[in-house]
Amino acid sequence: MCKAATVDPANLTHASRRRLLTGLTSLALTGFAGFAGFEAAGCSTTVTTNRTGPAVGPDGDDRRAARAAAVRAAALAAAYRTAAERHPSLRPLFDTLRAHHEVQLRTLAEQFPGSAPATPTQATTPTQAATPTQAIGRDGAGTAGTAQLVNESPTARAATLASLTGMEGAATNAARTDCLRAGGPLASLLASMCAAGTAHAELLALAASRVSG
Amino acid sequence: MTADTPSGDPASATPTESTAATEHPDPAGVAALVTMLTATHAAVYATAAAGGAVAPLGPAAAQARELARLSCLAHQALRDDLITAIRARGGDAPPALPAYRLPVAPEGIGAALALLARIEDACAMAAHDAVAVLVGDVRALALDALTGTAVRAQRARIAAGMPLAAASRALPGT
Repeated sequence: MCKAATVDPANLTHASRRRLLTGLTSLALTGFAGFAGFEAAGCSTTVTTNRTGPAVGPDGDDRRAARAAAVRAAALAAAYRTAAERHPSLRPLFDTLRAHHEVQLRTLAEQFPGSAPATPTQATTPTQAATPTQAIGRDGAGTAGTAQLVNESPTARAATLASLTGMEGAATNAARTDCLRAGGPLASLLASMCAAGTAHAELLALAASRVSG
Repeated sequence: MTADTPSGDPASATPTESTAATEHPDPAGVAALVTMLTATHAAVYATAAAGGAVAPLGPAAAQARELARLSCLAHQALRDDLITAIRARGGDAPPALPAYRLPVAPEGIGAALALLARIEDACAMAAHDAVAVLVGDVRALALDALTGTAVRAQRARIAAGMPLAAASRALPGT
């Protein structure tokens, strides 16, 4: 039996959790039980993982998978940026999801240097109908083009949401496939991206139901 | 003497109940699965507690009750899969503890939903880290568990009234 300790996962830093899970400190389950958000009494274990920082020397397949993931994240970020300009009423949602993909892109670049796409703004457009031209002002500064391209009709918003959902689904499927083939460090990142994409798709579906409702 | 240190000792070649596991030892994988199981045991307890806490609160708590029920069922299924996977690798699957101290007391609908989200986030961390050390079908198990936790946590946050834009996470489990 071990004395239980309460550790709130919200208070654990990324580094402290990694240390805990990599077993560097040989923490007993007392610590992990806290990590899991619960206080348990009894039992002990540690988990050893083989990743505590940036990946070193990923093989060719991992490099390609990381680069492909970065391209997908960049395309989605650009698509959300375009969609936010097209549908200001959905900007809070689109901006958040864009930011998520940018976080993923940065994380990939940090852990797998060289994975960043050469042209990160090369977007796959959400839909042809919902695609503003490059002339649209990022700040919405009242250009004629902006006025013409903003479209808040339910039909246009639904089309954009459906298209983004499709993009998220395709990216999620690709991340899942690559995750199951990748080396450990990349696999966990791809798994997280896969989970995020699934959650994103559900958010978009929910937003679509509110638009149509 | 262990199977990964072969010698001329005949005893080292004697089959045991965990022959497959000793022929292909994967202590890191078993440890990752055990870690997931530990979190999942706690999640089963906590989701049941959340569901029970909102059970008498009437129609206003219907959504929270349903989320708790689905979460509990998902964690029960994952628990069973994890136990099977651990035993198949010659590991010992730890049993659930009699009780767990909850990080949030599910007093009311909002608190119950907050508890559900916290539980899923915690299990996501275990699944995320397990993916790195698992291979094959058990990696798929951890990956799907991570995805499930991300979605259920998001649903709980939305049900608690959080705006859509604030309900999701960029990298669940990290």
